[in-house]
Amino acid sequence: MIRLLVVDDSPLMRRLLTQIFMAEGDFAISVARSGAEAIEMLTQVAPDVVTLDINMPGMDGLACLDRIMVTRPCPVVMLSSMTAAGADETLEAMALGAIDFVAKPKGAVSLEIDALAPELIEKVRAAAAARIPQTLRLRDRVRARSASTIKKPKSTTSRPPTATPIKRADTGIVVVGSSTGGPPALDRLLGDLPGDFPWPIVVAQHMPASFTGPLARRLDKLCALDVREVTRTTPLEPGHAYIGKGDADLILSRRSDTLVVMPAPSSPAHFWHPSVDRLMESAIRHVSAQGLIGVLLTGMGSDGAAAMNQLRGLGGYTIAEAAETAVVWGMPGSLVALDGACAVHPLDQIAGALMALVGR
Amino acid sequence: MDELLEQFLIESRDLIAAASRDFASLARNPHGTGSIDSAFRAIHTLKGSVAIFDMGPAEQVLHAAEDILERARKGTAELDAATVASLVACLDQVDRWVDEIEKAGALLPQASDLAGQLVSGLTEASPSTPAAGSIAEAANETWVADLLAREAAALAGPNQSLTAFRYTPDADCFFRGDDPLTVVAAVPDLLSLAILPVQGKWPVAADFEPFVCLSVLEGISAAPRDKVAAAFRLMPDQVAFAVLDQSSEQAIGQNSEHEVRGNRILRVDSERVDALGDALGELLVALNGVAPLADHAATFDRSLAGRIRSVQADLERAASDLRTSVNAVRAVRLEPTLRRVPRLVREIAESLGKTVHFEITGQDIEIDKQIADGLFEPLLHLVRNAIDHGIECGNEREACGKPMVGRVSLDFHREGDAVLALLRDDGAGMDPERIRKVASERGVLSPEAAEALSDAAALRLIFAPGFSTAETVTELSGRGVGMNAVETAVEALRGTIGVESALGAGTTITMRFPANALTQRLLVIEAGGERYGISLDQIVETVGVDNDRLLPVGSGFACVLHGRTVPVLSLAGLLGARDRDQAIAKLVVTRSGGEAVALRVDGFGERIDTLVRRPTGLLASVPGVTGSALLADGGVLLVLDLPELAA
Amino acid sequence: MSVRIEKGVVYLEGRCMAEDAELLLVAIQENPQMRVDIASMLRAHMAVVQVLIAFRPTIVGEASDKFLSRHVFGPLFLGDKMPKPA
Repeated sequence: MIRLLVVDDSPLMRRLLTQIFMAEGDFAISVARSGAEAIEMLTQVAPDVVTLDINMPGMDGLACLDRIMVTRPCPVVMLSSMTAAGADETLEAMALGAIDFVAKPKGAVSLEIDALAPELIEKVRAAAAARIPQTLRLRDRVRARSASTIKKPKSTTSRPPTATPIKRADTGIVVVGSSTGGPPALDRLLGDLPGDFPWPIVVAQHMPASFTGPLARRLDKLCALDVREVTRTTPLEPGHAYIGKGDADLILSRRSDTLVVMPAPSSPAHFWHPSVDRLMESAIRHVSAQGLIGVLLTGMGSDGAAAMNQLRGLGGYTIAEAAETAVVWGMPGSLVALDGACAVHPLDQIAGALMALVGR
Repeated sequence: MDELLEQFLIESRDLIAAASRDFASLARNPHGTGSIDSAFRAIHTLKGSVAIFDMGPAEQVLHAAEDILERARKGTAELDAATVASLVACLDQVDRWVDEIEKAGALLPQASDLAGQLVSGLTEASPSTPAAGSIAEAANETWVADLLAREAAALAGPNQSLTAFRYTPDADCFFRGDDPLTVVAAVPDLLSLAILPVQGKWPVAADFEPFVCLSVLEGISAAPRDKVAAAFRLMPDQVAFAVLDQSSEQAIGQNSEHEVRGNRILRVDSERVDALGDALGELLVALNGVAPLADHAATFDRSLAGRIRSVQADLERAASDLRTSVNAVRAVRLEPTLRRVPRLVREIAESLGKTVHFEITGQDIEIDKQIADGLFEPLLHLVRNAIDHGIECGNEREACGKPMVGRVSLDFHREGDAVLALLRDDGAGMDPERIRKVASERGVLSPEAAEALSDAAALRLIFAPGFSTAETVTELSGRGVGMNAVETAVEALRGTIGVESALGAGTTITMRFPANALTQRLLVIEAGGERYGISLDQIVETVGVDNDRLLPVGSGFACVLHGRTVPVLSLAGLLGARDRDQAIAKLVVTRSGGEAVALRVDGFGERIDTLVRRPTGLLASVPGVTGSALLADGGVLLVLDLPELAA
Repeated sequence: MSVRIEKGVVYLEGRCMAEDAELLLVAIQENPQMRVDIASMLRAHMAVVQVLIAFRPTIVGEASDKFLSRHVFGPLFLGDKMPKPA
């Protein structure tokens, strides 16, 4: 049996969630009506996984999550709203240690929750099996909670004053793929890189469209790199990281001798979007394998493993996140299983590995 | 009423509306030859029809207006802003005279004096300098002419009526999986298609966004307009049509289409359309009988059963098309409802000694007739409020550094199944603090409760019964029942209303109406052992609460939801039956008179999208019933009006 | 993938989807003399057609789809209705 704790202030939501998981047959469900009640029940229930409503009166979802992570860390799936404000809170929740989230449809008509049942069940099951994030150090938590106020230490002086777009074969591109558990992993990876990192970084993070803009803004505040969401054809520049727009794919191409990234209508051939496989395939088409580094971070499924394995076969370099830091070792695990990873590193060592590879 | 007079009233108002549109466009660009031509035609026709009635003064004014337009057309005189303003004044007066004819059958005695003043105003305003050459109309008004020039070959066929369309897909449509070519491929009898750059020219390769739709698709079909429009039913706001009358070698632009298409438009008594809707309902019920028939047939002849099922599928498809068509028939353009608004704005502003610039957009949007009819009253009230309480006096505006002339705009948008109306003014805005104070002074709520409200919630107090922010009661809008009556009227149309305001910067009132009133989304609920339908528009939320959270208050119950106390009524009780005892009370929360009210029900059922028929016979006299709906199993569901029941 | 490039010719084959527009655009941009063979093309998405109309490469073959050959590629051959490329 999977011990599930449902935390929600709405009785209807509690009932619906209970029904949905009861029907699965292998869940033992407890419910808490508020954040405070959830904290009280934590030790007694010892849940394998928690679903946590992000909007609650009194102790809100974020405060409750923060307490769970200190009191008794366990996998948490956030129920958030599909709005820009909801996206910011959700990203903060990821940074605080939540494994994943399910975005409720706009309008928050609770009747619509039925439609979410399959996604919800899949994510809660995956989370129950996920590695419990190590209790974040206080410093990290403070950093995570104050992302909105931190002035990012932009090292504008150390970058060449006129950043020129990269010419083909001049230098290379780092392609990063991530999914479940990805936002905090990106916080860490991109946050560890200097503002003058010479290779542009292109990121496919599986997410709904309304979340990738807030993700890019958040990362831009936290990192020395310039981070932006790709909403139109954009020339690649050093010192920049590019986040693919959600619910669409991200592809790399060129205009004359300039490398560009652009959003593309999501391809039905791929299940997750932005697709890491499709991004990497497009990169291989336009950049020589020696000029490409693939990084596959935490995530469910196997998106990116095939194309990154192909890259290794062509002589490119690939890094898989190690199982000990990945929240879900699906995507990096698949790459390792294909023998497609040149190196396997824990999350906190990937930035260092990249620096060494590009000769910094 | 005399049939001829009735016809005249309809026609003349159409012509006045057409001419006002052209004048509005001339006010922005006095050299628009298309608008001059079109205004000339409307005024000329109007002059002809007023001559039939005893409207000498109107004829005199229209004659003078026609002269001026004639000269502008021939290039012997140029229009300027002052002349256009005088033309508008003339047209407004003719509009008032048409009202007088309708009411009293004759013009008031002072009409001929007024006519004299207007005519002299017109001649003074009109300069006689020769035109320095006319400037071309904005591109979007000339697409039909361009298309005609381009497609001359395709048009050389047999004399028939053709439909031209111009389809401008959303730039993002590829990301939603749409393919505009597939849409156009479904246009029946397509004679010709052109794919043109929406920006006028194609971007160079370096700037070309391959996944952005940069094209506009223009084409000509030999099919009638409604058939062509059916191909674009999912994107009505991205397409314009024009009916090409081959015999006169002239295109009728999309805006003035209904004016000259004349007899292509059928005026139908709305009762007949309702009858059509009812008949459709019967058809759907009859169709439900086919499935059991097929089942029965299957017991002795499987192939017969198969054939019956295939016929059933065809019938269902046809019925669904029919439903779409009936919806379309009931849909009317907003324009006729709105055509009197600009004139009334001018009159209201004048009576208050204010100058207001007023603009309407989105009048071509279609909405269910019932809503179009009910929209005018609340809208007028809101417009009055905006000018009276919103827009400050000229010198007051100047003192705050605003332009002397206040701006009021009314914009309609289509948003999914809803039509959105936004009324904006750039006036003084509303002060939440003052509203709290006034509301508590007038006993709308206690000072503590008022203080506890957020600013946004405080603004909503203006909709509370007995509230008025005006310190002096003015002739126009200070009647105190104001905004409450507006909200009630809007809700009666199954609409919602909201207000946003920034102190010093202005107020925006947002109204949202369902575009198709014919089919409604219903939630089926159970109460007192019966099933009922409730329109989803009326439901704020559905919740289940533990019975012990229902607190006895006076003779009834209340419950705290989202930190607010909400009265709880038993729906079964209201319907004269008894509640079922349950540990969890199931509540449907609705708004009645602006207040949240929860109704206790026995259970929630499925949601259905269905045709709701107005109550007839005995049902018509039952309070709280808005109509009946037919269920898939042939049963009848009563549809309840929650706010009325809870009132 | 329904875009194949061989010896100065882009072959559009089968059902050309929106994603093919980018490959086609790059091919035409790199070699404006590029010819485009549509003989085996069954369907074409607006995104692909838009690139062909904007850049007017030489078209080889005839589209098997009636709608495309009559209303889209017919006019491209005639070349009189569409505005000249940028």
